[in-house]
Amino acid sequence: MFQRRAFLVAVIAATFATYGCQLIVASITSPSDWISGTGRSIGAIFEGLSTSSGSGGNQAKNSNYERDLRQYSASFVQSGGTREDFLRGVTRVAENHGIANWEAEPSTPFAIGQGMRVANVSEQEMRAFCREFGTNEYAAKLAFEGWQSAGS
Amino acid sequence: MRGLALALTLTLIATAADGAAGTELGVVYVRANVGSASGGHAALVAGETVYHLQTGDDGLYWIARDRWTHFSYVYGGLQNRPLEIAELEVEPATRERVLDRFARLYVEQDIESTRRDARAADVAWLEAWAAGKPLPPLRAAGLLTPNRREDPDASLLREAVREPLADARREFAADPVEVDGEDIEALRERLALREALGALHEAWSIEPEALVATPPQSDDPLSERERASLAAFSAKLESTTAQLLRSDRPDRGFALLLAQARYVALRRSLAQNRLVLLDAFEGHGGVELEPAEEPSELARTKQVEYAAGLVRQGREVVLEGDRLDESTYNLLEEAAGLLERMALGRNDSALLDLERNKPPARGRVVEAPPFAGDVSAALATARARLADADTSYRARWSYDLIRRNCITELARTADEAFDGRVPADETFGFIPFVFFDRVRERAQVLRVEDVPSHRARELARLEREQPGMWTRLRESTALGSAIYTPRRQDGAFLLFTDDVFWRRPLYGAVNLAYAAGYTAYGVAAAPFDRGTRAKAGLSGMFWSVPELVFENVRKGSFEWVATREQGKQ
Repeated sequence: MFQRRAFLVAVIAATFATYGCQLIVASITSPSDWISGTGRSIGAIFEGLSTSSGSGGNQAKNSNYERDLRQYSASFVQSGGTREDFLRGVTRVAENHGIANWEAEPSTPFAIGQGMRVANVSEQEMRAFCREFGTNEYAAKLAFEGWQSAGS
Repeated sequence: MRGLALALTLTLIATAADGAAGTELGVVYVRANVGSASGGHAALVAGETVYHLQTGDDGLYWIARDRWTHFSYVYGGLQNRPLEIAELEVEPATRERVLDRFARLYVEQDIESTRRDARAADVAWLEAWAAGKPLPPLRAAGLLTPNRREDPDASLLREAVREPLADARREFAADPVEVDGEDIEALRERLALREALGALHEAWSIEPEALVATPPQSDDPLSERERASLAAFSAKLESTTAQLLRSDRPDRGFALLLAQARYVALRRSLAQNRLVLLDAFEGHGGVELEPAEEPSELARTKQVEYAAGLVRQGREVVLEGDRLDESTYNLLEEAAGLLERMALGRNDSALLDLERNKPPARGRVVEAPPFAGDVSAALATARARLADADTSYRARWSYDLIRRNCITELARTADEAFDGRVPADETFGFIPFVFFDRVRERAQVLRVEDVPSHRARELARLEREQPGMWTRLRESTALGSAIYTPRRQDGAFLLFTDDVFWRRPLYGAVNLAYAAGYTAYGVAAAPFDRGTRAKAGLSGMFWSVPELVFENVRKGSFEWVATREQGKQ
């Protein structure tokens, strides 16, 4: 078995000159195939929604939103930047999940708070952050709850 | 008979597509086939989410997040590749950490790419100022038009937000837009806010070009439940708009423009008793992709039918099912935009990554104040910033065949799930099947599941329905097969070799001879077909060679495969 495999490797290696790296690793798959299948992404979400109840049907999508935002916040804290940079990043992450008015999503401040904890932001720093960014008291409270939940 | 066959196909595909959907955490090995990723591919799957890495011609790789339904449809269906899934035994906490690591990379790359695009936009704006040309379109400003003021629906919204609108306009007027070249991104945000406040104040109507043209067959009247959902959502947009007006988010102009455009579209839907939607893909992508091979009329019809079914499914699930919010409404916009493009045969690059939502963002050229400083100096600074952003992006996301490719980065990111037993930099570790073999042998694997390719599943069905030598003989040839239709992108070949072993060299020799003959024919036909047949012949010869030594790469591919969702329509 190993010899056969090794032989295949040799065959593949010998053909590099003709086909380059596409032979061995996945380069972008054919765009026309990708587009032909592209509606399946939307269909899968509709399917997921139809098999769950109420607005909670978007749970998988929401959990990806929270995860992305948590990771973004953690990454931002570690790399640094201005307040405007941070907010633009939140906007970008939210838009990728179909959310333009992210301030109205309770999961937004909660996930940001979690991200702060992931980035090892202390309680004192977190409170200061909530004061600076949290003109909305409710959002600041949620952010702090998020920070607390990530440590539990 | 055809109906029965379709039903069985749908059942089989549904079963296969469900294969990994429940997998807690697994590694997927995608077998080789002709075309891109000829050496195979690998991915990480967790439930419905798939992460894999792809490379492009620009020497960069990117992290793709996908739905299992889409991933398995493209690779296992259209590209006809068998998939193997090794389900890993990991603690829930480990699974979460691995998914966090992928999400971190996914987000970091996206943010870095967005920042680089913003720096490129800065340069484009400054170049326009320097040359005295019109500025590039401002994102989302083209959703509404200043040429149609006092729209009755937009006036309703204005009434609903009268007080916060007056406050926001007062505040904006106190801090006029200035152009000093320091922060062009902030300037774009200010201009978007100015446009949004103007649009609300003057009750601008929706730009007709920003709407999707729904084909008549998908343009059913609204039901009572749909009307109720749309009315409730339009009321919600009133409070959204008020909230955004009170917000101190510097980039809220975009969200305000979108909210007003959607509001008018919703009110118009109710007035016309038909769904009126913005085009989600305007303002994204915009590059027309050349298909590898023109789709047949049948495939195009199927694609349009599928997209029309998606719109119907979306209406049923989102509007009838009381699940309407900003995100699900955007999915409806996307489904309608997809349908329009499929009907027009447009391969818009915006359709390539639907895992990321595409809020409608049609742009429009707007007036900006004159540049108040040294535009040449500002342009030089902006170009330097763009060059820095480019360099830093390339440094992090450049691809290297051996050390940093789709497999090595997958292995590094998922390392914890393998207990560190599948090092990314081990010899030959960058080859998909070698990597997958090591995962199987060394990681804690609960089970390995095979997901057959589309042709294999169809063949099994045919052999059950029509057992006998004739069926097997017919289906072993590309020209006689009832399942497969030859495609030039697969290369010229006569016999399938993926389901035989001892006969493979013999079949390979036949394929080689056939492809050589086809090449000769292609050379003669080159003046009439731009050499496409000759190219298919040469490709056919090339991929016949591994078959001579018992290896199979070529499996054929399909331009259309029916799916379970389609069966529900």
